[in-house]
Amino acid sequence: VGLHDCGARRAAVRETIARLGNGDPNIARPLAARSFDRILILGFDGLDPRLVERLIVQGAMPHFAALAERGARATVATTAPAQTPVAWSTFATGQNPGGHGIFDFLRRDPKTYLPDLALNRYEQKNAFLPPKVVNLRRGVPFWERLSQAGVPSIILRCPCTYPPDAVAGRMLSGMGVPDARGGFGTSTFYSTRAGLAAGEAEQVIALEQPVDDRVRTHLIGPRNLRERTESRMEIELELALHRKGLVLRSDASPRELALPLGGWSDWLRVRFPVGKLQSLRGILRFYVRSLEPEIELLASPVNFDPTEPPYPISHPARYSAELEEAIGPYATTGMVEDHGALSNGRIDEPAFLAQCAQVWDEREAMLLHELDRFDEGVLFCLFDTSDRAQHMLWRHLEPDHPANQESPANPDFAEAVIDQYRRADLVIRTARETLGDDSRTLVIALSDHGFGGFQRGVHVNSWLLENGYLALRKGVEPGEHAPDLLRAIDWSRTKAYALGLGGIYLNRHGREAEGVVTADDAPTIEREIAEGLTALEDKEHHARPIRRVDSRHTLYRGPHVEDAPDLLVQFESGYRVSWSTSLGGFAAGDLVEANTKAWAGDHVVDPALVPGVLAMSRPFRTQGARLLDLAPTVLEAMGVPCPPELEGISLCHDARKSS
Amino acid sequence: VSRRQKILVIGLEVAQPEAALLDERLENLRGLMAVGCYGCLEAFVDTSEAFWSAFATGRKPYANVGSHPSQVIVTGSAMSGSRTANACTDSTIWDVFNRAGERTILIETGNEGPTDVPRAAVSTRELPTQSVGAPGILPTSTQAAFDGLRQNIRTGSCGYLHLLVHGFEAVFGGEPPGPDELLRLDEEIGRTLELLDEETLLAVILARATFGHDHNNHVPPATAGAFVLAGAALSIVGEVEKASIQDLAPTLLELSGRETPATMEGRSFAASAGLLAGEELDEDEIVRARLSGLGYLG
Repeated sequence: VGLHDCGARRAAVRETIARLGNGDPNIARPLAARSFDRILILGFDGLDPRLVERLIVQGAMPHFAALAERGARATVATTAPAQTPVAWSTFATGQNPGGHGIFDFLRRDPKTYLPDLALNRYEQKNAFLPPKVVNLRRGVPFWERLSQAGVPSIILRCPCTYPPDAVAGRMLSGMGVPDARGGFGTSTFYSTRAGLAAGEAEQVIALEQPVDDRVRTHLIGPRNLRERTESRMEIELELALHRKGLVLRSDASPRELALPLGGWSDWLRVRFPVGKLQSLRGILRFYVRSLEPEIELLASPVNFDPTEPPYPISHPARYSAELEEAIGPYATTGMVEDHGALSNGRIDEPAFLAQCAQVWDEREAMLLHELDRFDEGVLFCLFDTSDRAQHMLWRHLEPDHPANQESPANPDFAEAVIDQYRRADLVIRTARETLGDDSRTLVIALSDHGFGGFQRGVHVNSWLLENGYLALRKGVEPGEHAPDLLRAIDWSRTKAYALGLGGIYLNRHGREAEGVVTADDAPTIEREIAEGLTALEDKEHHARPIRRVDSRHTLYRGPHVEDAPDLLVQFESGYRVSWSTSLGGFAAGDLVEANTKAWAGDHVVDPALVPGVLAMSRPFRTQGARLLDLAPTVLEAMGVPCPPELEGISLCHDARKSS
Repeated sequence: VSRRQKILVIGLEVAQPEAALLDERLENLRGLMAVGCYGCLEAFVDTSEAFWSAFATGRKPYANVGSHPSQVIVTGSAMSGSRTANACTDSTIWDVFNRAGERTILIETGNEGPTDVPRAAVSTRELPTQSVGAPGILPTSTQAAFDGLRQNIRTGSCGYLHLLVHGFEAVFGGEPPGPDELLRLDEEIGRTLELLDEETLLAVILARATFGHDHNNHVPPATAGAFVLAGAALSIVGEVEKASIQDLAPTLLELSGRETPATMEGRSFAASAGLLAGEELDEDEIVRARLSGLGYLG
């Protein structure tokens, strides 16, 4: 349905109703009575219910409180693991991860042991056809069920919607959309300072000293992995009058772009050659950190240009461009906030927060644009800056956090975490004011998981090594020189290995390429590992980092259980899997290490410790609310029956009795 | 190229081959250009029969008989004409496969109707009677030829498979394929690409359909044709300049891992253009690129 094509939408609904009358088998089931004409769902990634409660008590989230006063509020059980793509996929499908197939950011191919991103993949049928992106989230999201029943949906930035679903309505893809280099986001840092070394997820370019206030350099575009080359675009930087910034000149648009000192620039629209015939259009912005004594400049990751993305990021495909016409250029990558630049010290907290504020503004503009024409159906919009900001600033809430050793906690940045909650509260206010308060509209605000400190990391792979479940290849020792991506492992002598954010796989005979664990031996090994890890002690802190290790058979059910890790480690508050284990590597030294990185907050612990928060404008069953229950709630409210494969129960069912 | 490849040739006669390469509407053709190589073809010919003869034999047209194009005996289609002209002395590209006992098939639309079978090739089906297509719709014979091509690809038993769509005087109402027909032809190519495997080497050859038939005017057109080569075993090269029509058969034979007959005068540009596939992709590098900036991982 086109952007301004309400007539077409009404016609589609009429057609659907007509097909229902004709018994079309492609239509789910006859519509039941709708409870509401419109459902607005505001997603706030990572809002922690404890902080929400505290702020409500303090009067700092009045609009969240008002929404809940009209209906109710509760904590909402998240998924195992408590990860954004897993949780929002359960929200969307009403199924546990065994039903939708997203268990982690990472998966591995048991035939090659090679890790890969678990959210989507590029498939090329043969060498003659262009690659197509395939969403690895399976199951049926509620918007598809609504579409089949003729109910329109507008879905903005939900994780695991890349490529977008052909929804009856509009969809803008969220987490999973890459930058121009194919990852989550790789920025470029420019400096005239000598001895520049690349940090996390960045490229560095040494700038010559300017001559006549000018210096030539280039932007870095997509990589050609086969030819090991990368596209470039020549640019010229000139020191602006009075040293207030830089002027960037190029063949891009605009030809001249002002880069203010200490601020983010507007977007630059670029086109990089890709291969021999094609080009990729992207947008990026800049942050000038200093001009004297050294010029230091950050270029953001190159986002897909919403007006001409190389792969579809919206449905209909034109929608991403139409949205830009309405609200101006906007970031398209799945994770917009440049946490890597903050981790690498290329920008400071105020610069990071300024970028966060821009993303909030963009997202709110999208929401308002859709709210203005939201007549019926479901509108979902995810605000996920709250998650990134808490990851990067949480240390300021915990003065004893090891990440504060070099740079003490700053109360201003602790307050900036709270500001994310306030901003979410303002979004609720804006949305409710725009919609009006009527009985035909249901408003839902929720988060997918809570948050906490990530003070210490557990080297699960090193534990497996020390306890004889894993062996390294000859000549490989644990430590920074040991290869990651599971490349250090001697598979012939390995029974189990860890990868991702808490998953452990058995090296199963018949499943893994060099599997050694038989089906008979597997339960014993699983039990031994679970008992051993649960007994692990963090000697430095006299604590047990791991609360429990769950078998996948106790956590999941559904058609995709076999893709899950065999075991899932459930960490205690303050702990998480270590950096090295997450990427299939091996650290030397103690099994538990202090986390000193700027990414000092996290949520991948025992899900019971990090529930999300939920408020609705109508009373609902607050006891035992789960993310699983949201899809049934939405379907029931729109008069669309829930098929039996949905595991949850509508929260509005018998709400008065249990609320 | 270490493994033997099958060869699939799709030959089309169009009004302006060089313009077709620039036509961004032809998504499938451009997709092939992006993953392989392409270029215009020099050929001092002034008939389509001479063009296809030069392709098949890898020789400058009529070099073996030293005769003028007007003396070529044309028996109704370009390929059969080329065979007639060169049958005595020259090996064709499909002869290489025939001699090795591999199946070869030519599917041809022409002025005189059904499939023409080169030498020992096997005919698989009868094409329907020619009919003039309406604008934007492919003639039934052309559609059937593509269907036949795909049917043979599905069987997978052919070493050399060649589709030749020509004879536009009858097929397209006396005019070369117009813009709409080009789009339809491109769509047919796209449907065909869906069926190909990693063992196939594909050449799309575009011949100028407007060669003059006035044999008193022997000025050849500047560009006689154009080509696109693609395959899993080929590097992405882009444009190849100064290729000649007689170079294509030696190039295809080298890339497919077969000997080039001594009678072919053309020179393979497989090595000089850098078509032979280079290094394998580094899987770890791809994974790191995909995960760059995720934040949660070490």
